[in-house]
Amino acid sequence: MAVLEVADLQIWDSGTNQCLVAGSSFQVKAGSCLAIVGESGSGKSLTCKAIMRLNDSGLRQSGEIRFKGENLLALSEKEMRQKRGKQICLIVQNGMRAFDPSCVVGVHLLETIATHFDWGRDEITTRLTAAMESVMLRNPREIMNKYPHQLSGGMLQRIMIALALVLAPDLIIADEPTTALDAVSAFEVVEQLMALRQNTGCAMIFVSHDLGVVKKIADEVLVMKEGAVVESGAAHQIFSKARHEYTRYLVSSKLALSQRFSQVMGGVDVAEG
Amino acid sequence: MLKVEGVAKAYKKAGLFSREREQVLADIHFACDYGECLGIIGESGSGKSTLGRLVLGIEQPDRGSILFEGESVTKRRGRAGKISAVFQDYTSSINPFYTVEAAIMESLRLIGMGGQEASDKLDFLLDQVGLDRSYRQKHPHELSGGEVQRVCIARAVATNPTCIVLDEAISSLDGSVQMQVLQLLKQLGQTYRMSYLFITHDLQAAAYLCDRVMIVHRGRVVETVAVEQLKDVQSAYARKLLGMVML
Amino acid sequence: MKWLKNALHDKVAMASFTFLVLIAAAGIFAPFLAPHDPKAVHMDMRFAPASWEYPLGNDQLGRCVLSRLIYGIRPSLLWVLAALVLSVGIGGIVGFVAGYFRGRLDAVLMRLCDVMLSFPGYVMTLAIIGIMGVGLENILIAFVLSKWPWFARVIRTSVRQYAEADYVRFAKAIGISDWQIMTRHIALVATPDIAVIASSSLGSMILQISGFSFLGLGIQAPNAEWGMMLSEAREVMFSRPELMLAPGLAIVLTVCAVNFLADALQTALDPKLGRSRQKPQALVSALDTGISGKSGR
Repeated sequence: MAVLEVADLQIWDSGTNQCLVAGSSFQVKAGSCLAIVGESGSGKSLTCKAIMRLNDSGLRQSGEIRFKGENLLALSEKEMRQKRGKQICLIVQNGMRAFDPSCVVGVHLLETIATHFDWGRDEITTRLTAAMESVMLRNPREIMNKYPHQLSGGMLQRIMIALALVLAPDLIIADEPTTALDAVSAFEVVEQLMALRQNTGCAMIFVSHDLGVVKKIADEVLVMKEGAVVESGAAHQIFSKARHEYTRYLVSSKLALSQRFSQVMGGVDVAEG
Repeated sequence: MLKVEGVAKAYKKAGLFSREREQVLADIHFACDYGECLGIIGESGSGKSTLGRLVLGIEQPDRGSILFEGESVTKRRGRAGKISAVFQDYTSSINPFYTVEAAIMESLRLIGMGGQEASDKLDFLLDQVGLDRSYRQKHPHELSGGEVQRVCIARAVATNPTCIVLDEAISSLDGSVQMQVLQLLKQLGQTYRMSYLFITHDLQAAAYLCDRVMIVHRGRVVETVAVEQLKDVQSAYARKLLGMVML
Repeated sequence: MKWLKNALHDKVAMASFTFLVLIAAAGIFAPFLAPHDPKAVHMDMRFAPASWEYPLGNDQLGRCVLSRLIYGIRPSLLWVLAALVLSVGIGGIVGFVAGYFRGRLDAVLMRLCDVMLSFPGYVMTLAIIGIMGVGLENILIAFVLSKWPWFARVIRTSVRQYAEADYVRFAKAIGISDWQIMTRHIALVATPDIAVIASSSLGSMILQISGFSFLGLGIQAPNAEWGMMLSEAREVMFSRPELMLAPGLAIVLTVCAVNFLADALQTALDPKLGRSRQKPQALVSALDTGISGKSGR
């Protein structure tokens, strides 16, 4: 059963009439992870924002986006707001910009949860603390009293994942969550995202340009180039038997880089995809 | 060629009268030879970028010495471009008011080139980094990330440097573009026999480009190892890093 | 000066710019343009209405209002411009040095600015006039003395930001001298910011000069100046209100033109406000990176 069905999604700039995404269609099945792969300018972030209907007012979109059978583009702003967070959650690339810099992280988190559920403040704090501990954040109370600029990128990403754990949405859209992180933090965040999927059984859309991460986390892959979907299929299919030239180019670039590393490591066990 | 001994650096914590200092680097020793590519690997906050700036002479260490060809690196004027750099943030690597031509001419002027000779060398450099001559009049905001980094590499190579410090030069680029730039760097390193100080968090990229790798954690050198012997690292932190590489 | 061209795309800005250029030219060529001597007194023509010989009529001493208006451009606009340039110049040098070199030099210069800024502007001006006497030069000196610290602080903030950019780091790394970096890089990128704050201050400075002349502290009779003309018209405000119109309108229109131009400059220079002028290709990648944030740390 598909949690999300996108049919012929088109996004264009109403000012210049430039077509930014040309008719893309894809599906996300319940409990599975779809990775959208592409380089800068391919339109993958625009697609994510279009699903959440968070694009700039200068950008128009058409097509059908069916979330659990309901067409999201037909909903009013109020109904859409009820869906955001509670049923579809967005994890953004730059944690520093995801939180309000003028108040501590805890305030933002409490406010978000209080909007969707009517639990008491104590219950929210208890659930949040439990969620933060499960994403390996030590001293959750202390962290909730810190400002975003006092926390590292990796920690902010994990806080967003903890928030998603509490909200328990049906679909999580992770927009390049590891691009701005170093290798160690990226690894930990990916582990947390995989555990999140395991624990809540939600579906996930994972956007990235890094094929190594995609290999580790994705079930299905969608390749985008300059606003158009170039290829789609099961992850192992894309990585071994890609049909389109662009996909093959991306895969071989990645392979060339990891080949040397694998060669150096000989036969020793490393974290494979 | 480059000798770093006993270097330590601390920054004052925020606040006008705060006496507290944050120790960013402590007790760093290493050396880099002519033509060698040394990778400096660390997480964010490990102090590797600070080390890069110290090696370039832009900042001064609190203790210790950094000698480049026997002279202290803080004497920047006489160096005439023997050490060069490529930085991470391609949006602020080139002056937004400069064209590609003006940016590279800055380096060429420093080594005393001018007029037709400089113009020819400019074309040659652009060719080497795989850019067309039509790029000369473009401004940085008209170029993609990969193209800007190529121009920065051309600008860095223009002064015929002995050593280039690459401070997370490819970390902001897309996957396939990273590979292209790495290949370009490898090829240029061999052509000009330059040494690189490759600062990164990406072990795979370092393994591709470097001969030796130095792992830094919380401001201290954890281990230094030749890339061929990467699988035989001793320290726990190094093993942890190796385990976290996603192929 | 691409940004200047961008700013002039706006029709209002273009009109303001043209207006100001014409006024400035009129002020410079006043001896050739003014129909009569601004100081010539004709007691038999007191309060005469507009006529062919005197297009804007005569004031309370029979002097030609139009000529006084034209000659008044010099102190009201041109000298103020000179004072602005001087205070931006001094403030700019201090701001550059403080922002680029930082450390102790920065601290000392900023404390000096703090001391100067802690004096209220009007009080300082009055004090200087009290010491040196009334007159246009003394007012302008007082202005420059009270404005330069403000410019210094603002320019210093700007320069501090730009001095941390990677292209400055590169220039330092390969051994380019500080002086060359400041003139070739920082002066270039800081100029738009300086232009915006300077043009924003011009409007208020014109008003202040006119204000002081109105109070009788600035330029002295019988010289023409718009604020002083307003002051003289004040005495006959109820019997001959039309005398206030000419200088009042002149001040209002000039300050409006300056403010419109400053606004247009700011819009042209701030990339976030002027996005619609970008090329489509750049827009897509700008949107993609803008939405997902910059790649990398």
